[in-house]
Amino acid sequence: MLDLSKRIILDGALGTQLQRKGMPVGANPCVYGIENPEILESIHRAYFEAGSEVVLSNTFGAGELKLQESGYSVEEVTKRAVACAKNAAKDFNGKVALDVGPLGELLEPLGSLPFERAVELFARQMKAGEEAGADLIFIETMMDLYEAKAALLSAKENTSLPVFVTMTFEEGGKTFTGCGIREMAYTLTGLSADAIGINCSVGPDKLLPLIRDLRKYTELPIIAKPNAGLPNADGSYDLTVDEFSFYMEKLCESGASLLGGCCGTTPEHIKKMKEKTENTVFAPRPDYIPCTVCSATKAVDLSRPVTVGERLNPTGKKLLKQALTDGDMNYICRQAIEQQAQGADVLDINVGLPTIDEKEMMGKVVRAVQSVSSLPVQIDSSDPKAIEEGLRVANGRAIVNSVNGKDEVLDEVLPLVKKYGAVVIGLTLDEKGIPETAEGRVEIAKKIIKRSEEWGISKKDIVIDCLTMTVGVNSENAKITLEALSEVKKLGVKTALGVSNISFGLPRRDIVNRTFLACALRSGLDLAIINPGDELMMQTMESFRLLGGFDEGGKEYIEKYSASVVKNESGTKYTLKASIDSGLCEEAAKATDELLEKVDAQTLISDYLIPILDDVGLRYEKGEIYLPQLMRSAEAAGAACDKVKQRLAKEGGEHQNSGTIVLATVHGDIHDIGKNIVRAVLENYGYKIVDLGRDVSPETVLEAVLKTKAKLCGLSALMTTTVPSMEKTVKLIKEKAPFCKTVVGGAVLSKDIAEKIGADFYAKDASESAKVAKEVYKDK
Amino acid sequence: MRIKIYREIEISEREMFNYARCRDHCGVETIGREAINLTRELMNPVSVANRFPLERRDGKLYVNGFELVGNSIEKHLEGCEECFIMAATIGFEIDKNIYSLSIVKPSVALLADTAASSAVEDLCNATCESIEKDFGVKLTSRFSPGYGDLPLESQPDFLRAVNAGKEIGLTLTRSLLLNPIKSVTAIMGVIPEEKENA
Repeated sequence: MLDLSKRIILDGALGTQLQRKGMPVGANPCVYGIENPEILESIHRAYFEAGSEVVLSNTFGAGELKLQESGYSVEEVTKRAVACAKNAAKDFNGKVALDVGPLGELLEPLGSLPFERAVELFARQMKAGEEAGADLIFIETMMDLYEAKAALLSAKENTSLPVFVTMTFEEGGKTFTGCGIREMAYTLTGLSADAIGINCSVGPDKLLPLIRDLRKYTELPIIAKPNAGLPNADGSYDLTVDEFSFYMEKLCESGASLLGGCCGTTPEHIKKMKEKTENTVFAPRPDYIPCTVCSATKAVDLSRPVTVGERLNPTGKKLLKQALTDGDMNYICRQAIEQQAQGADVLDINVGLPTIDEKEMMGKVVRAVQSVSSLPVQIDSSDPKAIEEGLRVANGRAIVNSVNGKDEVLDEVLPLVKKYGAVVIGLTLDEKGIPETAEGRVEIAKKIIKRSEEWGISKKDIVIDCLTMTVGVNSENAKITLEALSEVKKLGVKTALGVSNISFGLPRRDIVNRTFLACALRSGLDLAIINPGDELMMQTMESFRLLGGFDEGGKEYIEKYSASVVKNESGTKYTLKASIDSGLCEEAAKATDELLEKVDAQTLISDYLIPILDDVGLRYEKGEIYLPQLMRSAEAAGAACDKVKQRLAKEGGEHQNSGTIVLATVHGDIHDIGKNIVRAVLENYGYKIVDLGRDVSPETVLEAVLKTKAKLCGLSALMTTTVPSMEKTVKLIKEKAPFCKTVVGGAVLSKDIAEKIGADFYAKDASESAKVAKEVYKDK
Repeated sequence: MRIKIYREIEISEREMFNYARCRDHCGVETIGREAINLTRELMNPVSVANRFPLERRDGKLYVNGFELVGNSIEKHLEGCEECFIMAATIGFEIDKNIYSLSIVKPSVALLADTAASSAVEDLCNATCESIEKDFGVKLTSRFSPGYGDLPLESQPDFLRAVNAGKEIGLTLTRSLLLNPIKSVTAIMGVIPEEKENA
């Protein structure tokens, strides 16, 4: 096989060459290749003659979705294209890589293709490629890290071939979907790619800083397969063969060892590039690559203390439990967005409840959270199935929370950590429980480290949690934990603690928590699992980063704390009505708290909140206020509602909702701003909203209506082209769930259209939809 | 080819409020400012365009091997022998943020949505200005799939004509909607010189 420690010459553009040899504009290159095998083979041959050691098969667009109307199957195209390349290869002892390009449809949440469906689609190509005799798999021109992950997983799960992966970046070092070099490097390295790099994008000159950046984050061999510069108006590219090879030499010096070309490159480019790089010594790799986790668009270096947001964990949180039971992703998304805004670096996700299918819910919540937050996730579960599901659907590099010293757990979870390239948290407990001494905990830590290393998990990617035990039970508890923490830190791993457990059962827990956090940080704590909404704790984190030398020049600290926050300077006291009218969230919350001292929660909603909202709605209808003002008032009312719900949860009461409403943007439509506005308004009126999102099939809407027994279903469509899909949904509900009324709205809808498609109501805006809801639920 | 834009993309406060069906700023200037700043920070405006000859055969109109269907486009390009097809987008990041905002701050989401529409409109203007400058031509106004009787089904041909997926990351959903949402494809006729001078 290929010796990846040496320089390897790949091929240049295939499409460009096919066009030069007569492929008509707009033709499908896969089909053209099958129908003109002699032309295809001559191009492969020309690359081998120019010095390529590996050529890519003509299968870039050989995925099922792209071949749909071609009349050929994935297997047929793959088999014939690989055979053609192998024919050319045999005289040169060359290798053939199965070329795999993007599927042609975006994955969720950017598009609507589910992750596992993408893995399946790729699997057909991967299996066909191995069967056809490809020597390796080359996944290329990916702009979405999630799709690259699906392809790489699929290749690893379905073949035993080496897998190379390259993505296409803009000059600024990001792909069009916002993935950076670091995120790509950590994710693909974690998933055990055999070589990674950059293709297409720009010319080799512009690629130089990107490759220099990439080499800092991966030990893997690096691929550079750039375009021949930028395209000119006539379709040619602006770098000459000499210029191209000059910069390819620089790229090679900078650490790229697998060299080739993309759009606009020819066998001449490859030949010259090979000559130029014959004796190039490529730059050595860094000795140490910091432990980093990431989402698709944000990398978090764990070399400095970080905040792991703990709020997505149902233990002791009634509202979250309710949301999980109801499948209310909206509430969960809000928790994620808020924690990110409050300064969390990573989000812990725990969905363990006895009544729900943890595996399914883990997948659902991770997907929902990453559709609204850019933070990396920490999969928190003791169920290996739920852990694996979380790791699969997490886009980026996740943390697993957790393993412990029990053999059974280590045997089950560590292979998953390795397969998905995660960082792992190990709790210092085992079959015998939690040791009462620091030494005991350190011993377990050593065992976890040893076993992880046996699985090929590097020590720097291991985090040990020495466990916070309540100080109210044993006054030595804090000391033991901190002592263990300092010792464990010396083993060369990272450390984590769930901090607030220290003060359980004590008064003024905040005082104890923040002091313990400061002590723990001083003892070497890396991952503080806390509530980022707790200002004092966050202040401790931020000031420690400053004092500990983790905040260079105090930049972050100064940025955050120099801005004096101006809040209601005048000190004016607002009534609930005034604060909602003016859209002041904090004031509305405060006024609600005060009112709750005088009236009960239900009265507050029925006698205060709803009349205020009705009044706002009326003024909107009269044209006295406009949509943004209506929305702003809805937000303030939302803040008031939250206070009421919190109070109810605390007192053990149930929030009486005004009725259930299912909302969806219809199948085929991805414009959901209108529906989201309707949701915000209806929520404030106390309805329980089941928001199915956008591009929702009629069947899914029906299923939700049947499951929730909702008496009203709101459908939104923005485009004329998606009205038929709305009609289909309305008809399906009429037929299968006659108890449910339908209300429709959206830019292209009118009363006439609504009637024509058989909807019960038409609402021209959010305020009107509230009236419809009132009408439907008036008898409640 | 990627179009070089020579000026900053502007977001019009007036358009932002207009699209949200407000008269002037209706007392929510702060939210408006927040929406504009956010859009400015998150947008990644890129556009691409190619020049094509227009072919007329058997009473039908063709460009880059595909038919431009309908009377309205026929009329729009009347007298033109050449055209440009363009695609423009301000990227995925803004879509994602509008979505998150619609959960926690719908008022800002609403205005960020219309601010983004204003931005993509201005990007289209800037793209056409650049084409006119760089190619020394005068263009007709823009015409997009879905306008008049030019069917949305021509969207894939438009994207292919400028290699929009690879050049600017612009894709289509199964139902032929552009993704990222804040994107435009369009065709502009090159106004013949004699007509221009007339």
